[in-house]
Amino acid sequence: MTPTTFLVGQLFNGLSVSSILLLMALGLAITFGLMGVINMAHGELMMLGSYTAYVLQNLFVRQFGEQNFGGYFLVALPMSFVVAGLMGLLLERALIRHLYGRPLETLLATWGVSLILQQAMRQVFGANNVDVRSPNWLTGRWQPSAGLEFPHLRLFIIVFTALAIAGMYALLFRTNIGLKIRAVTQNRDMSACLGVPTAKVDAYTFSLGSGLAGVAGCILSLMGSVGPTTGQNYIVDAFMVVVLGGVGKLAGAIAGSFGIGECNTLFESFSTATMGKVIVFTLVILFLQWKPSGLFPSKSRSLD
Amino acid sequence: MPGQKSWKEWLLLGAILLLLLFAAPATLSEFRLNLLGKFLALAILALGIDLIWGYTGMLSLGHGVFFGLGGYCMAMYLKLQVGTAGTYQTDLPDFMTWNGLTQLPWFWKPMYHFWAAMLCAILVPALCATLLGFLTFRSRVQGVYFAIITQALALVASLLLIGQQPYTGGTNGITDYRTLLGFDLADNAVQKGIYVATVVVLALCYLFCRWIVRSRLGKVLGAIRDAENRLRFLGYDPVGFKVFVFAVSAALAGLAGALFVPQVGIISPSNVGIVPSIEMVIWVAVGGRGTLSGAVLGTLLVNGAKSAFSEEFPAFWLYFLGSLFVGVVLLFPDGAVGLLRAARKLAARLRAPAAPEPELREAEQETLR
Amino acid sequence: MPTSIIYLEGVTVSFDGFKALNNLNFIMYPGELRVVIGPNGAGKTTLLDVISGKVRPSEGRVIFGELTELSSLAEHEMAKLGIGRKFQTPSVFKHLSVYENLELACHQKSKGVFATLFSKRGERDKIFSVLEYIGLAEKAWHKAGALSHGEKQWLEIGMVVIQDPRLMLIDEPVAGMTGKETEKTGELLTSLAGKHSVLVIEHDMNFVRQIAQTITVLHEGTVLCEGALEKVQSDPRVVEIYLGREHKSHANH
Repeated sequence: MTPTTFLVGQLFNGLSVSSILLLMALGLAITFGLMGVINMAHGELMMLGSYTAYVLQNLFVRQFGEQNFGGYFLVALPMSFVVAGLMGLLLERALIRHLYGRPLETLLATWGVSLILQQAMRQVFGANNVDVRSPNWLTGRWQPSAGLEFPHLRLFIIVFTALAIAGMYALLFRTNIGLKIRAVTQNRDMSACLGVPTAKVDAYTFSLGSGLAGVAGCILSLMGSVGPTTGQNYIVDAFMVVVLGGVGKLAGAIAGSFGIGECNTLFESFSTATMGKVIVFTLVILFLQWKPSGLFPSKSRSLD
Repeated sequence: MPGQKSWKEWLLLGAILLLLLFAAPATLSEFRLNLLGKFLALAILALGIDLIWGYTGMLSLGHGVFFGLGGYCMAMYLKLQVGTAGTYQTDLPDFMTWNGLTQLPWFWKPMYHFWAAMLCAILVPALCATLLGFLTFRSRVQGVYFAIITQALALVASLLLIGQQPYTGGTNGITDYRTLLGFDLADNAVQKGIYVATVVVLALCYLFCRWIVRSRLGKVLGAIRDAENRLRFLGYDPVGFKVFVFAVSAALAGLAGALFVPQVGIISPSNVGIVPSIEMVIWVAVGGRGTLSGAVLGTLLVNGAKSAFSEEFPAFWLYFLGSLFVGVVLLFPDGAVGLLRAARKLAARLRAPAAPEPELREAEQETLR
Repeated sequence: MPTSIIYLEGVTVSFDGFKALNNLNFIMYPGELRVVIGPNGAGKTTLLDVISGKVRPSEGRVIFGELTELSSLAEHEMAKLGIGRKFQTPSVFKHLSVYENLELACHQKSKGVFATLFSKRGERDKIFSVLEYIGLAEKAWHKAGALSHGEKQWLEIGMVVIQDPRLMLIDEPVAGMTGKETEKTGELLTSLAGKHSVLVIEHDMNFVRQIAQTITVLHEGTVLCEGALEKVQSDPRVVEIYLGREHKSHANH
């Protein structure tokens, strides 16, 4: 293996890890970054997406047989968005809307929700992990030269993440609803005065962020087995991405996930996965010394 | 000028102390007393969380780490006391021999001595908190960012403990102790002794925290909670105060861990990670944040409920705990103590509708002693 | 010429390209009562931000008293030097009692961690004399968050007074006060001048007329005009940008 192929391989692995992080963080960038809600149940919303994929896979296998079940994934992607999005809508209407402006309180309350969801999933799907198999069209790999190989699955994730980002930008900055979302998250009272239905926009925005978590979970289910507590393992990473990137800007989430993703794979290749995480955490703390509000800070003149 | 109120308060405190010291050991079964001792150790930690969260408004989701550091220090001491009596009959703890170590790691060496281990159990968490606190507070990391960073700390610490198996015992943690200061831990009388020690330490910690929150520094902490940036313009540097309260609360957590371990017989990464750390916060929330008695009360209530549930309906415990988080945030932000106060106020109003607000008199007496 | 209490030289502050202060020069002498006026966005609050350390100038020097360069100090260090500030929107510690708010503001030898932990809380008389003056003695044990807007204004003024600073920065003190209270605030500020230096920002022109000795008019981040009330009032540029607007708005009412 030449140094170049090693480097390219490393970069690629880092890129695919970053894409997964970014997919997870994208929902958070909306609920936390734009709305200021710390949703600790974000991981469980992801798991809802994963289990949606699992259920659809089993349905398709029963309906179309072992050979032709692969189409399930195309149905699972939108379905996971819908399932997690509806759960998010319920969460916002029942709980979150009482807690705007009190981020620490949302943190604790949504943690409670995450415990309830976990236990519910445990009772429905069992405590053991389940496997979601990749459809056949994602199992191959592309080998452009000796020593270099790009699994289709990882290529798919990278491309899908890029599309998701493009879609988010288009939604937020090119559409009417995006304008309303930005208006409400920047100045709720003013938007209300201008006739924007803020409660509705809040509910849609939160449900959008939740739906994205479901999609992330759906994709993540292809990378490893899925259990009731799997989501909890990812939540810290996702939050670190948003903190590192700077809250309130999509560009921050992108930069943050690439920073953490690439560093993680780099340090893992030199030591263990655990030490990789430890080093990344230390680096984030040190980085915040230098830029306390992340890579892309939003400026404000208020006292707090 | 000690008012009537504070006289009553001391009487109540004394009565509770006597009850815990004499009545509980005389009436409760070994199992229940051991459980109570465990909860009272945890209450020391809850006092620390109340100081930093209830009084200063900073939510730490990493107190499992400080609890664990204290617990591991004590566990290391207890494990070294086993000596050559382990399965492999070497000088080293069994798990080290099992992992192929032939020499005791340097950081284990001071733990041969009980007092050194106790000192480490308090100082190591305090120093870690000081370092992390200084770095984060100096760069003005506030609010939810602090919560997220401490949560990451909990994750990293538990991963480290699991990953460094030869030095920490890995996932299984450190267990199977024999003696403490030469006394047999399996002996019922020794366990009773540890229980009494826990009650006394909790009482001292309570008084210590009471002294802190009633000092001028306590008022500075309240000001940090309300408007930290405003406080700077009065000439206070919040960084020092926040580091101080973080370190004190970490030290209390470490002390709690050191008292917890000999009563439970094990410490493992499952006491350290994200999940136990955030659960500790709910003890304080249920009891009533910003009141020291609430922290103790909440710890007893939640942990009591937990053991009752796990005996009767284990599957529903998470539903209950989850609803507790939601309910305490949405419906009872002041917890059990808040409910008691509201009830007392209502009773007072029913009795004498025109009487001056009792809370105002209390505030005056508390400030002007 | 005595040493100035505060001296700004060529100070520029920009937020994302917008210059809130633009090459501003400003000087005040000990004991002076200065009123700064100017239309919205003129940079009045930013001026206070720079002097109290909330905002760092991107260019220029800020000198406090005998040659203390402020731009390298943190907010609390400036406060210790003797700069007290009342904010535009009253910001008090809402879960502490009125008494405790004043207690924290009280001048101390040290406001460090251990000094505050061990010091006695014995300023009762001093605090109550201020409480009497600001009319909040009855409410000493109420939570500050339960006060009305005007009462919070008074509390914050009290906090600045009890801090006993050399330089007081007072941002819009009479917003939300009744006519009588406004008059009383004016008397208080006038009596404080002399022993302290007082820098007041105010919109209420009647109030300005009551207390003003020297007025500085800010416009677009620089000093437009400075001097006694009559001089400022007759300056055509001031009439144009500021007073004129006020007259117009009065005419509209």
